[in-house]
Amino acid sequence: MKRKIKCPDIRKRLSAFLDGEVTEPEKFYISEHLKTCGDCQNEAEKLSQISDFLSFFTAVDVSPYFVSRLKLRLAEEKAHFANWTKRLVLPLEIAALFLLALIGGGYLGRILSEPRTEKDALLTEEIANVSGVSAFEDFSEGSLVQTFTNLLAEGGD
Amino acid sequence: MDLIGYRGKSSTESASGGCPRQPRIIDNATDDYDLALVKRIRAQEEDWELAFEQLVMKYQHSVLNTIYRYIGNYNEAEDIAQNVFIKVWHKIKTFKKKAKFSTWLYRIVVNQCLDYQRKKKKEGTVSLDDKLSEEKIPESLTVELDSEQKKKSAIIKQAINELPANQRIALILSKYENKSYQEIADIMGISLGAVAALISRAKESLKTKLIPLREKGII
Repeated sequence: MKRKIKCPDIRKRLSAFLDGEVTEPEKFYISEHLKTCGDCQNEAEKLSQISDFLSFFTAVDVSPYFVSRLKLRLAEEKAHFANWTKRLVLPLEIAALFLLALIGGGYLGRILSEPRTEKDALLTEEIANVSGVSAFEDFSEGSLVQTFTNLLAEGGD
Repeated sequence: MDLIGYRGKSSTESASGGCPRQPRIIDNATDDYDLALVKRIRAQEEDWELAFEQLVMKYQHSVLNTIYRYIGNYNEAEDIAQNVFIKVWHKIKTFKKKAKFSTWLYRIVVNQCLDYQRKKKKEGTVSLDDKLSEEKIPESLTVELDSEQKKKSAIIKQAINELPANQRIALILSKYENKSYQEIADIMGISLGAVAALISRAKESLKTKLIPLREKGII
């Protein structure tokens, strides 16, 4: 059975109908309804007048300086960005150097303070034996010349 | 204004030895024209700044007038329009080619308008009467109107400005920018039905305010 379309249904779609934004079947049944319904016709007439009223609010022209002003603002933006980057990069570089020094220092300190292992001690001893460094271990305190003289004297005996 | 561009291989050209690249005229009213410009800007081609300028030239009038009709103040509308194009400049790489450039652009316009309104609300509401009295549009930028027309224009302007934000946007895009309901739905990120409802309510509201004035012979 064909549903009877009521005025409130038509009114809801009247604005879209006048804007040409309804489907073909809707267009057909709204047009048919308007032919026989004076109230809806009156409503459609009032809504059409709104479009006329809106045309009173005329457009404004764009200033001839719009594009040049925009270019200027973009140039400022670019300069600001470059400056901002520069200001950000320098502290970052300093921070990175500081961090590097901190990590490097810590690492070096750890190596130096590490207890020598048995293997290290053996290696040192072996090097001393090979190079004859052990002979210098008994040096008495004094000047290098005195030490050298003593050694010569001992050698002379 | 036409843009002389270059086309790549079309579907009719063979992949191996099609026609040599040749210039073609792209109508600046088409989406192809916009996409060609966007492509040049994104690729930072040699003349990309010129391409951006062409894009601004094409849309500046629509963008400015949409904002002007939304906020009702020429000077502020011009500032916002500039912000819109600066945003385009910065965000052009995020534009997805599947969408129409104009849809993407109007979305920025709408967001800027809403941001402006939020900011104004925070600062304290300025009535439209204040805005109208403050406003000084250079005469060279307006259509010459007699006092009667000026009065009508001010009445319509005020009636539009009294509409809720989303109704106002939908109505402006439909009536002044000739956007289809589907385009408005895409711009505002709402359904087609919601657009129809917003515009219908806006017209109802205007009808209630303006028809009595017409009956009294004021407009």
